Amino acid sequence: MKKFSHVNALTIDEAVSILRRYGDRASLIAGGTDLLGKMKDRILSRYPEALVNLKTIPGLDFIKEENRILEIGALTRLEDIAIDQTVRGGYAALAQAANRTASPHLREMGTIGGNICQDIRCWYYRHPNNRFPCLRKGGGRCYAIEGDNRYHSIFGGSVEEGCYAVHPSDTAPALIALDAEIRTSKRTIKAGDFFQVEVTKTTVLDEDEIVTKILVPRPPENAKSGFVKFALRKTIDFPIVNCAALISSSEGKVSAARICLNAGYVKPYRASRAEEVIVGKTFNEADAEAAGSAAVSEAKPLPHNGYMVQIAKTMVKRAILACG
Amino acid sequence: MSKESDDRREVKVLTREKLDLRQLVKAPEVGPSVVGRSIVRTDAMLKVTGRLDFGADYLQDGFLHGKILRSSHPHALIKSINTKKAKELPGVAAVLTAESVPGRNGFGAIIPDQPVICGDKVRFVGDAVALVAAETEKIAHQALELIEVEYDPLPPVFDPREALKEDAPKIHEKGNLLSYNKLRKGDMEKGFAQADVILERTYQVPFLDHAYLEPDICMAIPKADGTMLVEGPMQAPFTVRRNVNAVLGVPINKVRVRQIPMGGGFGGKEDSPIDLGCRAAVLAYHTRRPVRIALEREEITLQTSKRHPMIMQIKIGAKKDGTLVAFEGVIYDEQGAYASMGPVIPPAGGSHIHAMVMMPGPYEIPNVKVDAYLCYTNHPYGGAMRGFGAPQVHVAHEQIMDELAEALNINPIDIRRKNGFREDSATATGQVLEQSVGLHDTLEVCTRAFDWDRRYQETGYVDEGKTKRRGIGIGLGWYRTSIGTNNDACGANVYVHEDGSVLLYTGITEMGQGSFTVLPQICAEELGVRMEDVRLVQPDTDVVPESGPTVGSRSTTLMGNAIILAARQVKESILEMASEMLMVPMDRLESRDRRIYDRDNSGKSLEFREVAARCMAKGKRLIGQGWWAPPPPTLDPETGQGNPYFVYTYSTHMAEVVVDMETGEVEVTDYVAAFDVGKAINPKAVEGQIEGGVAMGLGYALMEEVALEGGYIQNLNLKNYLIPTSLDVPDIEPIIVEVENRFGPYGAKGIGEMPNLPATPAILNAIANACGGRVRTLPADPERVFWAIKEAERAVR
Repeated sequence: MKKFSHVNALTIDEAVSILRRYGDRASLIAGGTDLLGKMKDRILSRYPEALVNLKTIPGLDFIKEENRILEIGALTRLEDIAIDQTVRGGYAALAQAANRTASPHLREMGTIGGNICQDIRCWYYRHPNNRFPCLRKGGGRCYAIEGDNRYHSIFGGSVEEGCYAVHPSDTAPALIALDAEIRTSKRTIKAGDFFQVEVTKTTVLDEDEIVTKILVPRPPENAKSGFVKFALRKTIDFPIVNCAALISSSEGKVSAARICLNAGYVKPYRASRAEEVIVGKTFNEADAEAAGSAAVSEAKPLPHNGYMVQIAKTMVKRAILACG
Repeated sequence: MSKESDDRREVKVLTREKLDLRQLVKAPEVGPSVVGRSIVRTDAMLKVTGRLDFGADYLQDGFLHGKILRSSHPHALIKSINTKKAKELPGVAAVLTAESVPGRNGFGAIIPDQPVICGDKVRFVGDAVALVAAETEKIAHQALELIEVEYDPLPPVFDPREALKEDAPKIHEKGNLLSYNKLRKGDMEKGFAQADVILERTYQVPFLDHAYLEPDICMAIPKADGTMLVEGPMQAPFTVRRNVNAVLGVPINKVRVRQIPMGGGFGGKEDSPIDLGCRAAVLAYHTRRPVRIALEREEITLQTSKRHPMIMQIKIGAKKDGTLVAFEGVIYDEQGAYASMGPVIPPAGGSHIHAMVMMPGPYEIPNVKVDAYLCYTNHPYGGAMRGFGAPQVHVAHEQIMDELAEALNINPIDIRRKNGFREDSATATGQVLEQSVGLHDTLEVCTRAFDWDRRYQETGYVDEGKTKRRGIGIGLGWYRTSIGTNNDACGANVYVHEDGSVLLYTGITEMGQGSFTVLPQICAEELGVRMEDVRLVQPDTDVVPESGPTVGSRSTTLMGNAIILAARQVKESILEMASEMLMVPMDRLESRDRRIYDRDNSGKSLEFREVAARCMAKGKRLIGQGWWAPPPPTLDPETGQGNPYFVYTYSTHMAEVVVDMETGEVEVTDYVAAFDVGKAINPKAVEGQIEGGVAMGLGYALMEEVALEGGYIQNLNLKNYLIPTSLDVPDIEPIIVEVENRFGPYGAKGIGEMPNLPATPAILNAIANACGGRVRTLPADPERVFWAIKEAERAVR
């Protein structure tokens, strides 16, 4: 691993000022489960000179519900979210997503803030020793286009000629389905607007901006939420595709739906077409399947990832049925 | 904690005489003897408490750190190498290129065709073009970045069939065909003429990585007297010595190789310690300082051996009633860049010929023809990996047996009942199996324990939504004990001390398989002492007799026999001396549980240690040396006929799976595995082998694959080279059947490699049974299973 300085921040303001001082040469660190792996594997073309430690900032690790709003501090660990009774009761999709993230060890380290700010997954981008200096690293091409793209975006790239890497977060689609907001050191952003399709970034955050907490409105009484994930093994792995849904219904009929897929695109993919199809329907296999098909109607799979379309469709179907 | 097994679960051990198929009762004879008991592993406490020192735990004071600059191309000429800048970096002790190798610039388990450092040409991306030794690992890394290499890329070859073409680029001077072998039995034309059904299928398996837990490490320490000491976790210390001495250009007795605790090998630590041993030794030779090379996980994946990929074509013919009449097979066996353990050691050694011999499966077939091509390519090289050419062909023969059963509308167990080996069956090589053939015993026991007949009726959808289907599958297996060469002897020394304690010297290594428990058990049994009286000496080529490599599931059987011979020599002294002391004829004396007693008058006895002390005082032999080699193998190179291996282990596996029809995901939900092991010296250890092997076979079936693209490996790390997690492996019910091996110690035969072989096809057959689709190219990951389902649906329409 390259040398770096490790700076403990005691307040958000201090962390922000350190970030300003270093410009783009600093990175924030909380659980470190994504960042340290990247640094150890020497995948980057440039390394942060300083890591700004957020764990030393008090008061960012909490889960509370007030006035029908769930507040989660950015430093709250995924395991704590997964087992929290309030989250499990009222915000099932989020608890389930946290619970399906990585492995028990990693959930004890990784934070919700880090989980939504994590970097993309692509085995060219993440190949050890920066073997593929790809578009995302300032290089000239996206290796996935002509290469082994079985796990790349099925809904197109950041730009025409790449990057086809996918956003791998399990909690992100849950937050979007639950219509959460992300509070930062500067502003409040809708979860649906938080993620960004850009070759070098995954979020809309400025260089000196820090996520401080997540706000999730309690779903209405007639709503249920759920999260499903498809991965190659029963634990540890990143999703091939995951999906979260929040569905309100009255008298067995769907009255409103928010459905979000992830790991199928450069950012979480809101399945608006599926939402349109399922509203007004009852919870049954055929309609859920139709909604799944609608969700992938705009898919543009690459030569080797056609299978992911099938998985995305099935995940939408199963997420809907899980809310029935 | 008790010294005996505290695990109260019972391992089913069935002897053939006691084999009651209706009840499946456990019928062990637990006597006072040491053999046959589930004694806790000698290293268990050290391992579970983390007190056992592995290579990475060894002190590094005074050591230089070796690193390897690997090729940037799968196939290229080296135009120039500039090491000037790297040499100038402070903290760098040596930067070596090809001309620095003092002796032979080549190593290999069979043929030394792999350069220690490539001089003119690279043949895969794991090839070494320069070696660095530096004061820290970090400086060594920096030095690698400062070495400038200019390449002239050559067209690469990545497919064994392409490699055989006349105009294919030549990877080695002698061409790309490393070995062509054939097996001919009976008359193929006549055979197929008798067939009512003929099937032709092609099966394909990828490169696999061993994924052992402990990364490779090697330490080379130059001694003042000019001896080079090489230490590391290794399966074959003598093969390492044979290579290091040639590479250094010194006689064998100037190299000392010591095996240290090993965190898993699976065959992989047969090759890699040769590689690291030679390279560390060359660095130590030049710097005159101790050098350690510790590979990182990505380096292991890049550089070390793999399981050979194969393309296997089969044409099989059977009569209506399922009787097999003809089998024709072709194997394109991909060797990769270097020969490793692929080529033939006459008559039947090497993984390639083993694959050829095993290809028709454990079935009596009168007419057989196999052609097997072993080809160099510019991929990583294939070496030994638990099964040595046999896991691949099991994937083929067990799947085609199921496909045949389906075509004939026969129950998959019935077609195996009809054709499976029995005593006096003749194999495809014409070998008559005269003894210890428990295949049918395992088949019947497994059928009962799994409740096959009931479950065979209960396949189909398991959920209301009709998205998941259940299926069951069977896999038979057979595997040799021994390696099929004329150089397969094991030597052991047994040294009894005046207090009755014993040192046991063997060259067999411990990699987790349990040899360091089973071998002392045999020694204690034969001498008549307790297990805790025997201490096994860590293998050291200066100290222990040549034992060959720890491979081929040979340790318990071959070394067990050598230990018995050695122990008997000492026991003879002991009994002679006791006879004098007790004034009882020697043939009435018995040694058991630390006492020598008169069989006719058990009140008359002596303590083992008193007699040992007297022997020592009188100068009577207390050191025994035993050598044992199996009956010599034979195999005609033209016809592939003969007796390649002297005994085989047999097995039946049955698996239940649930397949998700919408995603192709497979869950293995239940598993029974029955093995004829001759005699379980330590049933608990056998159980461990079975469970670990099944997990490994499951990985082969469902997820494992070295993903290669243009000669480069995509999944260098265990985050995307997937092996099963504990949640992916079902509960496994192991059943041990004992059909005595006349040549084995107490009737034992090998078990180490066997358990993963039938597991893979049992799961693949269960998938096909569940969803109707068959995956013939591994791994059967969800995607392949999904497309197979779609293909099957199209075929029905």
